[in-house]
Amino acid sequence: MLRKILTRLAAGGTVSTGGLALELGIVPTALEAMLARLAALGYVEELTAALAAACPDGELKSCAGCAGCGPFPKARVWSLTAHGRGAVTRSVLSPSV
Amino acid sequence: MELSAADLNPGEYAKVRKLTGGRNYIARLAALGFTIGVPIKVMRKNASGPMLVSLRGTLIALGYGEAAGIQVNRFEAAEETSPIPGNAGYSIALAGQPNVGKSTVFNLLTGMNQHVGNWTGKTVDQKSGSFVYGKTEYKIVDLPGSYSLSANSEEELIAREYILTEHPDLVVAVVDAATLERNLYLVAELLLLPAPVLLALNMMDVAEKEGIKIEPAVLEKAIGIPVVPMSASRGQGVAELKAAIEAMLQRKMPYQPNRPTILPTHQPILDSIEDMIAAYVPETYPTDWVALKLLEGDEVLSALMKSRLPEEEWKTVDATLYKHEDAVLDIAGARYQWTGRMVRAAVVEPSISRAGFTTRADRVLTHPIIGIAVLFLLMGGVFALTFSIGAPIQKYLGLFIGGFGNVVRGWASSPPWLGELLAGGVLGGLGMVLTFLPILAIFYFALGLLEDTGYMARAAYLSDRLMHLMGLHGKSFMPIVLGFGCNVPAVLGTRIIESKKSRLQTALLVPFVPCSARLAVVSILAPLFFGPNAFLVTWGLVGANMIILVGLGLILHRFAFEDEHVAFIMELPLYHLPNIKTIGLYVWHNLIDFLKKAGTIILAASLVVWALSYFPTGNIATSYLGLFGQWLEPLSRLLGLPWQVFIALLTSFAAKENTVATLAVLYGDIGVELPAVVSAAAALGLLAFQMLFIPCVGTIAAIKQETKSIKWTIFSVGLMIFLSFGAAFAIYQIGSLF
Repeated sequence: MLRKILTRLAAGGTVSTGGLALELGIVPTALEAMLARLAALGYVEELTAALAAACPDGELKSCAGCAGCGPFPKARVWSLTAHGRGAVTRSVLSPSV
Repeated sequence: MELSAADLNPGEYAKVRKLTGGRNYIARLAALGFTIGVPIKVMRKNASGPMLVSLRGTLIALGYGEAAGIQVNRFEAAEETSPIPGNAGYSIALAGQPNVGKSTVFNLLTGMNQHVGNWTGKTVDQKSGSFVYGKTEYKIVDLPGSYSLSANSEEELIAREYILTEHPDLVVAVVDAATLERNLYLVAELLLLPAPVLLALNMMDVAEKEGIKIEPAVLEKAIGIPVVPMSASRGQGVAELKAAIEAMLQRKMPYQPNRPTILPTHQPILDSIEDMIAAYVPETYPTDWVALKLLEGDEVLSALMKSRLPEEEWKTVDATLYKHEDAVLDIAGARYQWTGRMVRAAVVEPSISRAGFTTRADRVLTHPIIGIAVLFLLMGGVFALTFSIGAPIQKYLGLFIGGFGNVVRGWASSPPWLGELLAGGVLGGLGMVLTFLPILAIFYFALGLLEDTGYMARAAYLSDRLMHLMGLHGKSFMPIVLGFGCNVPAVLGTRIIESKKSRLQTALLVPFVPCSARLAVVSILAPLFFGPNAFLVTWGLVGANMIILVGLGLILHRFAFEDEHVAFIMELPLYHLPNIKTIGLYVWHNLIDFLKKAGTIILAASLVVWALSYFPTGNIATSYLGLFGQWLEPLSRLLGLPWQVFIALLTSFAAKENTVATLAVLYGDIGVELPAVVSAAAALGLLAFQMLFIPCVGTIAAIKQETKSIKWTIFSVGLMIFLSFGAAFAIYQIGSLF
């Protein structure tokens, strides 16, 4: 299942968590848990967390008057890391393990 | 020579040192109560038939094969001050992910009998306590909340180390029934450890409220361990939990856990790793568990085994692990498949109503063509609402401020400049800006409404498609979307882009994203010149701004962007009814912050502008500002603007709202005066200039900080001046022909 997520990301295009969960036949909360696991393992990164680190306050919390966070505190975004891209390549080369 | 329970004679005491054998076998022994450190006494041993062992006040019949797998250390009865007591007490570990109500369960079980300290050498709190049920005391330790038993955090390490080294008699896993599939991952890991596990299915009330129906009996049968439904926050299920704990520890409940398995292709690899490390695994750790964790890439255990194995042997192990470095995907994936099977077995009616509406709505709202059209329509709607409600209120407030200003002039007529300072500088500048609070309130209300319903996430999702038009396939879309709120965090956000070139080019594009401050000022000025057509004009300006942004992006992409092609998974939260309180707070906080800005930057700018426009002569045409303005006039005339308006545009460098304040200081009643001196074409150019000019000094500072280059900062400023002036010039010159 986790490999399927990485493979889907490597295929390109932006997909919503709802859409991907439907594709994989799981509920969105399960997908989010898997994405958190993949992020902990270094295969994907959560970009909203990286954005938060860039914010002077250290978190995206729609500070009064800043309005700079826009949709992102509620809408997290994930992408493959280099390690994740490598895993997809390795899967293609050695599909049995 | 290793001693096993089979070697003991009747009447001998020993303590369990290690359990050997397969995982299922060890788990069965553990379920019987044979855990590391527990004392036993051999009661009977015959040549044939099972041997009888006293353990925790209970007699257990063991076959000799079973007894041989229990390695023990003898001790003399004299070492104990009393014989093995009938009810020696039990130790329980409370485990669970964060926010599952574990602390509530702990508090309900222990009441006042609890102690808070620290885990040795750690900063994490340790809560321990006890409770008595029947005649037995149960000591309970509340483990830190952890999502799994990997070495990802201090909390997870503490949790697993406690279970492995302290050998609790039972682990109570507290899970949130409303997010069962996510929570069961930890249970999947706990089942791999020797200690028996009991599932406390908490927050049943929350699950019920969300329409999720769970059948605990079915879940119990599926997982093979006892399941106790609870609503700890309501005090429900505690008595049942205590009864289940007692029954479990007295082996009155069936315990046949259905554990997740690994891929058949991984089993030989696991077996080979186990063989290589078996002699070096610390006694308290199950060898097969350590082998599995090594295959998962557990850094802490890898370091531990590396330090314990001879170098050459570790190299062999390491080579095997490296060859299968992604095995963790399959191991963790198998656990998720297991949790999925458990949930599908036991969850009868998951809540789909809100999810179903969201899915149906998103078919339209995230459609590549319809979605973008709806986005533009909604933006137009925001402006229409702002002008139709806010503008009339602003008009009356403006009349009031203007009238009040005349009164103040009369009061403070000596010296003459005092009245002018108060009426023209303070009330004229700052006061006039404050009259636009109704417009800002409506504007932020509309934005807050869109955000609170969950729509803004869809806007971000659609933005990614727009970014593709600009040739931006990578992470640049996120800082650019941030720019619609404020350009400063957007520039800072370019940090997430790995490529230096792409980072620079995104930083150059961000200042052209229409931020909320620019939109607010344009919303304030547009009605002055265009009346009821203001929303069409504003809407059109935003559309044109987006076209310029796309065009600039394409140019930069053609000459310098690298083609990253990064794919994203974006969370689109469920749509929900807006919460008026949340929106109210959003509007309130934004207005308060605007007032703070008004009271500082805008007031300061207003006073400076007033002073420069009054002194030395009291006549604006011959004031310091007037002399400077007349020097700039050739430039401002190219845009069809009087120098006063041009000065006002330049003051927006400090804060966008300064444009309005400066105009009010220099003209007084801008609603009457401005349309008389600025033609429609020039007004449109003025608004376009406002949209494309330097956002604010904060953005420039952020560009300098992120690019670390004065050269590129100057280039960016120059680009903004060139485009804003060029657009205003073109609009005025072409518009004047009609």
